[in-house]
Amino acid sequence: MLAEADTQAAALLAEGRTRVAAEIAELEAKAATDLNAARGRSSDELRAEIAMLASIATPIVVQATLNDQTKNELIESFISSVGAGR
Amino acid sequence: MSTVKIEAYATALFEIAQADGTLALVEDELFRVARAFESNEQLRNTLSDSTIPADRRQQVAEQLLGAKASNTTTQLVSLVVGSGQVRDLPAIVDSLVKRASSEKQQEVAEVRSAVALSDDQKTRLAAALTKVTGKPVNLKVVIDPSVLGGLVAVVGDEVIDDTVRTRLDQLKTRI
Repeated sequence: MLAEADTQAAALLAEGRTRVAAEIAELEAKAATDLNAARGRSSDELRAEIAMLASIATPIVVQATLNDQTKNELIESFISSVGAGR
Repeated sequence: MSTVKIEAYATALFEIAQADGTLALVEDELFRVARAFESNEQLRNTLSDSTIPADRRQQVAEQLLGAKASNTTTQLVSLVVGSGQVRDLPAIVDSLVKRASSEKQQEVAEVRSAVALSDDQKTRLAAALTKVTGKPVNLKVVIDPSVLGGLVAVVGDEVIDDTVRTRLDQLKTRI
């Protein structure tokens, strides 16, 4: 009887260990997936924010540097380029 | 307005200016009026507002153009305003300009620039566009601050765009 109890206990223990190991593996896999998603999302968000700031800042900087002389040079450059057959 | 009606108005305006001997000047002035009309919503709404009597709208147009355009141009714009067809003024004028250019075996070259071009620049630009398109061009310069810098030229179906605005848009897309 004692031997049978020992066998059952050992079987239960083994089953429990297997179940726990499977649950841990599942949790680890889920954690890894969540972590990758979070990493990707924050990288995308950061990239989008940089792009947005750059797209706001660039025209402001460009307009600030576009004085009459530069505008005239751009016109001259266009005429030369078109005249040269582009 | 139908294309036929637009063509009819364009022909009438063309013939009046031609008979007056001021076609070159009038087509140039009308072109600038049409572009100003296109870019100014308040002007469009006022001149086409049917709740304002036609003669009052004509007065507004005449006062606006009075000091800036020749008498023939002012009268032609007033005529279109009075007929209630002012919404189609740009199409009528474009047709007239095309016809005037055709008579001179020229192609209309519409150029947009953030700043005015000098006469010398206009001459060299017309020569350059003639060279690249293979057709003599009737140069029409539109001052359009939205291009920021550089020029964009439209000759027939051909577009030559080297504006700061376009470069910034391309940069924005790449970012």
